Amino acid sequence: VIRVSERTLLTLAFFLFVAACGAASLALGEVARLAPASVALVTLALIGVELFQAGRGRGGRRASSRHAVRKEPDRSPVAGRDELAMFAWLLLLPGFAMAGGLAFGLPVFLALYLRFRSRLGWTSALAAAAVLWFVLYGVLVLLLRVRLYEGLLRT
Amino acid sequence: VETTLHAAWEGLQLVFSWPNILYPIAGTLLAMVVAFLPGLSGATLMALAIPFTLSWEPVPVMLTFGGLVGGATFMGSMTAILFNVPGSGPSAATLLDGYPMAQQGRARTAIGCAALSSALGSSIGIFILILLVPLMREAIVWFGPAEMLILTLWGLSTIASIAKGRMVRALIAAGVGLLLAFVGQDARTGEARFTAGLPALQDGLGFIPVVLGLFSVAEMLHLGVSRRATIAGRAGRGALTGSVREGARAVFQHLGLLLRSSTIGTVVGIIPGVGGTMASFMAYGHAVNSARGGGTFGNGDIRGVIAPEAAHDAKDGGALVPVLAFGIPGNESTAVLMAALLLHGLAPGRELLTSGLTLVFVLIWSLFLSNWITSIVGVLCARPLSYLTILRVQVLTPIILTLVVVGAFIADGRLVDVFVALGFGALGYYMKKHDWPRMPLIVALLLGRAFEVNLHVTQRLYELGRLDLFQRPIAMGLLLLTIATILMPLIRRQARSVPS
Repeated sequence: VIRVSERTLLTLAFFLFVAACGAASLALGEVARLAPASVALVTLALIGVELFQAGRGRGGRRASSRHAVRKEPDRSPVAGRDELAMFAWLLLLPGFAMAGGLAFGLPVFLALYLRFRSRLGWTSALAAAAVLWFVLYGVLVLLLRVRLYEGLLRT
Repeated sequence: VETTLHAAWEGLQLVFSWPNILYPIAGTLLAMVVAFLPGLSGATLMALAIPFTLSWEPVPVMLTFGGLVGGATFMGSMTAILFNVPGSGPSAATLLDGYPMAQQGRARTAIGCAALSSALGSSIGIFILILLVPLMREAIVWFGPAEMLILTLWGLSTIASIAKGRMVRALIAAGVGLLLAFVGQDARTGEARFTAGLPALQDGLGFIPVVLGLFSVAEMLHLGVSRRATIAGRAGRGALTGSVREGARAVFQHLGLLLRSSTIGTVVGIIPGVGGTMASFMAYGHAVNSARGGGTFGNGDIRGVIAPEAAHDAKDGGALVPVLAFGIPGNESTAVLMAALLLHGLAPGRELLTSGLTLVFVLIWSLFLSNWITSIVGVLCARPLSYLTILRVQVLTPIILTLVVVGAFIADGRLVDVFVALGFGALGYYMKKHDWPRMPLIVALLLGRAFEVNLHVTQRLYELGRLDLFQRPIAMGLLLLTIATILMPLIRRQARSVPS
């Protein structure tokens, strides 16, 4: 089984994106493809250098020696759980925005986050949500007449 | 010159007369409150204000709009320093060192420094603008596609300054940024590139959503995972060190940098279509390259706040030149301003610069006053604002995330931008976690399109025999500056390694 580190996965993600752009640019006309194809080619070569350095451990050693304290990621199980929880909440955010609209869905998200993730009491969570709702609906929509997305439930 | 000075004096009297003085003050304070929301730029505020001002006389309109531009500009930097949330594109350069200062508990120092730098920067910009008023029409034609191409190259060369020993990764990030800049219709052929068939991407990726994602969302994810108690590290007022006075003193210690950055801002502001974001990054790159001893840029070096702030606010003065002289808006704010001028029967050009010169100075002085008001209010609010950095991270995170979603949407009114911001947030989180520089991606995304278009036009002019680079002194000067910017970090590294 080949174990690939998260750091290498990130580099590979860049590789896939750049390679896809490079391939897609080949289907474009001569003028439109010139710049993207050239950039993709050079970037792919640089990604090759980065992967080579990572493979030899040079890049990692150099980075860790220069940015020793701040840059080393926390790999503990607790950090892993927190990361998962944060990404789950991040995924919920557009869900609330799309369902209830920005003026109503976001305050609901805020209240739920403050109650269940930040462990605040319902009173504080709802008060914060009410302030956000006032800013979004009262100030932006009613006073400044900014058009906010209304959400699937309202439309 | 005599006519200009007379008009300047008349304009000054009009601004400081009663009740006219209330307009820029109200405009500035309104902009400062509203612009605390990311994405609500001066341009958005002015666009919202146009319907309310249709029945007004031109003088109050000029006064109000000057106030709105100045107020919104400064507040974008406040949120960048306090929460890593750039309120507008140009503020993105300020967060590079401003936010690390807040993390060290030195938010007050950063705010004080930013306030004074922006006030002095805007004053220098306006002083240069007043000097340029008689020369406006001549000044603008000095810049052609070749100069703009080299200017974008200069902007891209700042990546070398930001890389800090991670050159390969910085260049990869820049490559990715350039490819992202090519998303949307090709400016010359109209061909759709990398849009995946989505109509929402025909106009390209929005800059604000990408910046908000890469920095603000990523930072909130990082804070949520890192179990850091507050942005300043610890809870309680004891976590806050530094003072506004310390920030102000630093500005006077680096007056040369302030002056040079303001000049960069004004010159870049004059050139239509280049914008304040580029001015900020170029000034930041200049600060890094000109720093003695290398500095601690990226980790809370105060010069990294002075340079972009001065350039950012000085740019507003310069950006008025092409609008007033030719009716060519240099950025979003001046585009809306021009629309407002036209709606009030004021056509930019020779007419406005002769018979309407007093009105031009009303706008200039209003901008000047607004920048000083924002700085004074900023200094007065530095202490209470700094307390936001000792709020519990678990409380702050969802508030910032919701504001980012609103900011991403408001910037262009597109729902897809919310997903762009959150997607780039995830990418930014992993880039930060694994020590990939994010700023090169932003710089390249910002300049990619302008670089491609100007390269094409310059190439065509050269092929047609209409361009001789050696006959264009400004282009040659900019080229030398670009080469110096690229070589400077290498020379410095070489010089440092020799004694060791």
